[in-house]
Amino acid sequence: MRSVRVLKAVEDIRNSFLSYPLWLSLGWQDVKQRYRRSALGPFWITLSLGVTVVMMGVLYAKLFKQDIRFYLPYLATGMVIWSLISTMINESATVFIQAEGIIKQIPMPFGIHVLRMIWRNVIIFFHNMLVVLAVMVFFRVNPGWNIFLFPFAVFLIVLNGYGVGILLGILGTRFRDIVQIVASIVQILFFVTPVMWTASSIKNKIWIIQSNPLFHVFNIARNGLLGGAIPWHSWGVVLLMTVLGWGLAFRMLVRYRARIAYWL
Amino acid sequence: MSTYIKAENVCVDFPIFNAPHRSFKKNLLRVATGGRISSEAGKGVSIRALDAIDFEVREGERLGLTGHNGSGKSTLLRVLAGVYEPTTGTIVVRGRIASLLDISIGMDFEASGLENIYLRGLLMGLPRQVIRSKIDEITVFSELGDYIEMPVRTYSSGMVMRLAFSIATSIEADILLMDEWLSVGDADFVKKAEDKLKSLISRTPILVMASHSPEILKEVCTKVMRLEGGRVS
Ligand SMILES: Nc1ncnc2c1ncn2[C@@H]1O[C@H](COP(=O)(O)OP(=O)(O)O)[C@@H](O)[C@H]1O
Ligand SMILES: [Mg+2]
Repeated sequence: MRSVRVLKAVEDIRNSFLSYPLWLSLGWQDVKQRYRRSALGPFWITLSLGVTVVMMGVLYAKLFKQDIRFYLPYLATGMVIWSLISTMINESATVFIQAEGIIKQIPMPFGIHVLRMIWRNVIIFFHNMLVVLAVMVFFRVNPGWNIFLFPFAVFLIVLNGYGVGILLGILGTRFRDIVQIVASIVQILFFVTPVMWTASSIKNKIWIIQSNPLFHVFNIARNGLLGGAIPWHSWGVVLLMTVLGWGLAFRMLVRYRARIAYWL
Repeated sequence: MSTYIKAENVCVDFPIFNAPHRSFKKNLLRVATGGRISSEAGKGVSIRALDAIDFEVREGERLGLTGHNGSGKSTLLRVLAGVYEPTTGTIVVRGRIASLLDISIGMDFEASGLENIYLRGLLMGLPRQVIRSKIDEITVFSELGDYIEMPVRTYSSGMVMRLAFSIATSIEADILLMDEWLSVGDADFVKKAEDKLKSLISRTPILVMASHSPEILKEVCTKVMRLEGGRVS
């Protein structure tokens, strides 16, 4: 019995990726639906993010006594990456609840609903990257060869998103207060992760900062855009996190895949 | 390989959750105070929606499901669709299934009729080329004309139903699942829709349909199974 369940979980994951025509369309449709009525479309969030970044950048550069030429690109990359990660985590908790109508009628790999969620956030991420691009051009930031690592960093973030999506998706379907719990945790994460502040500005107790896995995610993603020495240990941590996350998600999927429809 | 359905001893138990069972915090608290965490509401209350169902449907047969509200018809159709894996028992379904259980599912009201044809087609597992080849047929049958390019939110409810019906019935499959006889639109369209549905059914090897109406069951089905409290009666 267990081997059957393992096989079905493996098939669920594999077939979810193979159904890319479906989740690519659904993800696009989500973005279009959200922004269809605003004249700027998804560029509306790009614009609002740009305004936020510039205003916060000017203010906090003064407050933290940082050089604006360093701080604004730092903040811009941080905010864009944060927006991708935090939205994916938050939406993970309701990823199956949102798809209740489909799940209760047309059986399909559960991973499809997760990939749809990831894809719409990736689309928005690319819109937001315009802010980063503008800031980088304006301040003449040259990432050098590191830029080739950036796609891998984004890929790892998205890969983690799949694991988290399955994991929180299942938990969130079973326990309906997971959404609020996750939202609170994400809010706390925003303050303990170097999104706005720089790790180097904190002199001691650096290990506390380093024990936050998101610190390493930001490290590798920012490094790809802003350049500098490659933080190999952070790559290691993120890879390890990906493997552990997928392992956990896979176990959950094996165990509870068939229950999801019952819990909806 | 012929189309068939075989159900053996199929049981479906729905967990009945009360508020604390659905709360992660409350469950965590129980664990912290020495209780056990459990995925199934402390293995507590559950409702048996289907109880030891056995049946077989072969090619050419049209099975009608009847019974009072809450007798398990919709649940059985969902088991056949593959939505619910039976709690115990086995179900073998051989053939491509088209589920007409809720034909307007996945309809995006902000999107155009055309986009909705693609969406619904993809949801039903059709490749893009196949969907493209059906667009004209669907547009003509639904009588939407130029409205097909407009957002569905600008449609009247009758137009929405006509579109949903035309998409759902344009898909060929081996097994059709239906929860109540589909009947949509105004008087003229009802007749046209009925003809289309009948011709679709006549081309499909197996039909399983739930209905309250003895007349429809008699007209359409070759055998009828009556459910009562989740059992075959
Ligand atoms: N998701 C669910 N959770 C809990 N109980 C359910 C669920 N779906 C159906 N039931 C119960 O299962 C029984 C059968 O329901 P259903 O299959 O909808 O009956 P019918 O279609 O014959 O009216 C009912 O008692 C109903 O309350
Ligand atoms: Mg019903």
